[in-house]
Amino acid sequence: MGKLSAKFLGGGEMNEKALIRLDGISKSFDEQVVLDNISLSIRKNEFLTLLGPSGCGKTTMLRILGGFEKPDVGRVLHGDQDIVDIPPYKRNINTVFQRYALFPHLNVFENIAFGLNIKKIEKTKIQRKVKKALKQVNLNGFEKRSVSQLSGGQQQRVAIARAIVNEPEILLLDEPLSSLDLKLRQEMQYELKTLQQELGITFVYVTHDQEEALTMSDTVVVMNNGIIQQLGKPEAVYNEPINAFVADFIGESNIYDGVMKRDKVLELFGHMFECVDTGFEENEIVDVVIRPEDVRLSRISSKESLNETELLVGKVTDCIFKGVHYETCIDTYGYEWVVQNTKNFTPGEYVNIEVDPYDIHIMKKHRKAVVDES
Amino acid sequence: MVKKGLERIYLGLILLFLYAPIFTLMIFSFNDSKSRAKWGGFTLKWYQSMFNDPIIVKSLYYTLTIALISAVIATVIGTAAAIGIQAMSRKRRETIMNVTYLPVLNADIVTGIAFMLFFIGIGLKLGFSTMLLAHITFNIPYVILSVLPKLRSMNKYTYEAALDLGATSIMAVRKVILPEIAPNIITGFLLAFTLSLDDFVISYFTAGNGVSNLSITIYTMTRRGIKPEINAISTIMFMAILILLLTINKRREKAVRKEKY
Amino acid sequence: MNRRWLAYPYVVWMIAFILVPLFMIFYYGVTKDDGGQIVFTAEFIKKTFEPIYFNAMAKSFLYAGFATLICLVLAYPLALILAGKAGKSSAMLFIFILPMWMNFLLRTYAWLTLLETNNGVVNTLLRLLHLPSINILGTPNAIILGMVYNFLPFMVLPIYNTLVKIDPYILEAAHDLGADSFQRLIRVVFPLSLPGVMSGITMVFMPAVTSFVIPNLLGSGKVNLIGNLIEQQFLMTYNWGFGSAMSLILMIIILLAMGLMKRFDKGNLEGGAGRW
Repeated sequence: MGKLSAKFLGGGEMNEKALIRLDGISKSFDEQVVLDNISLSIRKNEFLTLLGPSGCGKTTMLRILGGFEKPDVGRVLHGDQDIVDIPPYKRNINTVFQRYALFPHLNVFENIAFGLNIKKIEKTKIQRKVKKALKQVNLNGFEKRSVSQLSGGQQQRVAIARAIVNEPEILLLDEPLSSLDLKLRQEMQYELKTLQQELGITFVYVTHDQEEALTMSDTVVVMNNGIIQQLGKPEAVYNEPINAFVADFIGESNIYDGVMKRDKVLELFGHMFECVDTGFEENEIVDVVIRPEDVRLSRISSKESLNETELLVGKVTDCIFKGVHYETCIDTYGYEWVVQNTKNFTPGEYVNIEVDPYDIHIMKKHRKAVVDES
Repeated sequence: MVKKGLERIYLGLILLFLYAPIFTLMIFSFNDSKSRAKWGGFTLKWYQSMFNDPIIVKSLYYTLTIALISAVIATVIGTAAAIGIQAMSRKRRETIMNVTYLPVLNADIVTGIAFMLFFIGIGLKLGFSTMLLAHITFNIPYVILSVLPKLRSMNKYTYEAALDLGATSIMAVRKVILPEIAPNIITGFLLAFTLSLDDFVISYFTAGNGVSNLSITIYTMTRRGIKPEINAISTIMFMAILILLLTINKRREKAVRKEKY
Repeated sequence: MNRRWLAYPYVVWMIAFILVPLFMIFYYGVTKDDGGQIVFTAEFIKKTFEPIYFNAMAKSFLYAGFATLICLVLAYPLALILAGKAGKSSAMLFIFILPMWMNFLLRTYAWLTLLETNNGVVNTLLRLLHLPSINILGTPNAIILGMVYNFLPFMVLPIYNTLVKIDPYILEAAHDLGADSFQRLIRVVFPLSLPGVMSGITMVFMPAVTSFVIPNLLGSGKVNLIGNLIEQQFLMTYNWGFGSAMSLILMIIILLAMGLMKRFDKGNLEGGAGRW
């Protein structure tokens, strides 16, 4: 993975025609810009996640797709048609709301059948479809239950069933798992992914949890301040973050200022490191990103060897047992490194720090990602 | 767009319906002719004759006095009651609240008659004191209803924390509970005051012949036909209620804003 | 000393001034002085069912029923509109609720000024427009009008309160699932507003049925409803037994209605998971 241009590559084949395209969407609330000239293509049968911190615009984007907000500028294209002015009840899109929004005066069956009843589908068909939907969310036999008696996870499934039973083209999910506990969340992540593959419809998923996004998605859209920072397959976004924000937001990172002496040579804390990125000017200041699990530490045998080594040296400040690995904190010239490995170090020890060229990610400063995937 | 227009028309019609009678009275209170159909010129004479009428002035005096005293006493008893009720077991609380709701839910006329029978039955002559007792009685539930929700939503443990830190029961109530529910106490007081000012039916049955509050006086006057002084009274009462309610509302908004912090 | 003791003064007061008086109505209604002896009697209760009195009761229920219905029809759209504006200003609601706090005698009296046959404002205006005059003072219509006018805000408020409590996401979900605004109103909004509607019906019907001021003023004394009858028994004919019996029957009917209302309220109202 070398060329900078590779970072622009989106996930998925460019050949597939887009199901829905957001074109130049901007939206402000009370003079606060929430979406800034967003363009995005969403494909069929794709699990696409909008990922970002609170206030980045992801929920607004979802609501525009659903028809609950209108953009100030821009089009939402379904095929050739701009559907911006089409109300939610006429769109072939359904939403799973964050707090489920189940109808309290209807039982589980009636909740799920709601959309079908509106369409005046005949009773036996409704019975069949609802039963099928309940099966798909693993809630067999829950038809007559009252929604207030259900647990959070069960309400969640009813909300999902209620949406998918209408066989929409796109299912919108607004942080549906955020109020569940960890174990349940992980279970549901798996179930949702499987469900999407079974149903073969597009899921547009909103979350601020990067782990969740990486686990479930075919495509991750990282957003901040109303702008798409990066778009791509989970591995691409994780391994090749395009700027400091993405690098910091996704996964754990060590981020520093460094100087590219020339292509493929990085100077960091006074030491030279070989890396694989090109396209820089001489002595250009850059952002350096190194994942904690990519750092190799080795003990320095004695105080004398300290001055003999050419490698970067740091002092261990902390070493915490995390179950899966040890998390070691190291200080070099006042900068902190966080390293994950299976070795146990003692605070106060001196260690050598090494990183494979392949694992050093260089990013130009102040890069804004511009992604258009027509 | 059509929807907005229809909405506005509907709101307008209802507003017209609600306020036409009131504004008519207010306008005619300045009318220099007794007629309800013709305008005879602007005058304040009805206001003058209203203030000069000893019956009206006396009933105003009684109305305000009873409203004030009954509101104060009801607030004291009601607040104490709410604090106590909050600390009770569920069953006791529910029983007491059910009885408390009786004067609120019951038709005024039944409550009024009940009072009358009671007072006469125990040998009290109907007059100022009986009216006062009745007003206190129907005011207390509203004070409780104003204070109790706040007590319920309050942090349960601040009182116990105070005890834990050495305060006696009384001190804890005074220093911890009362300050927190103070806004609700005041709202309860204002509510009681307003209800008392406005009451007719219960006062009617408990005042006997000697005493009369404003509502009773007005009733007697209206039975004798239309009198322009009534228009003047209406205007003043309307303005008074308006100011009272704006005050209560402002307090509520302040309280809500405070809680947002 | 326990906090609970603070409630005891009230409990004493409550027993003395709420329970005992109610008991006295019961006492007077079902007993009589039979030559020095107090005996139980159904005389007064039976009298209530005599044609004249029973008719008055029936009329009260009828007029109050009409008034309640009209209030409901007028108040529901109003509550819907106001609830839609709920976030933007509480001033709107305030303006509609304000008349409720005006002295209700004066409000009823105000209609006399408007509705008088010869000199009333309404008729004066109609005559100016060469339209026929309305002569409704002294008729049941005037009484029903007076009831609607007085009690409309009492129907608006509970419905409004219930409507604003509906989780807004539920409203969006209904649209999301294909319901347009009208379908949403019928299938989601109205069912969820029922407790408010029930409250409103209670808060209007009850005072309407027992009212005596409105029939007196607007009925010109020609129409007798149950409230008037009770007033007369106590203040004119001094037949306390009979008056108490009527009050007792009224009270029982009202309490029964309350009980029914409470059962409706048990309906589950939490907005789904919105309660977390």
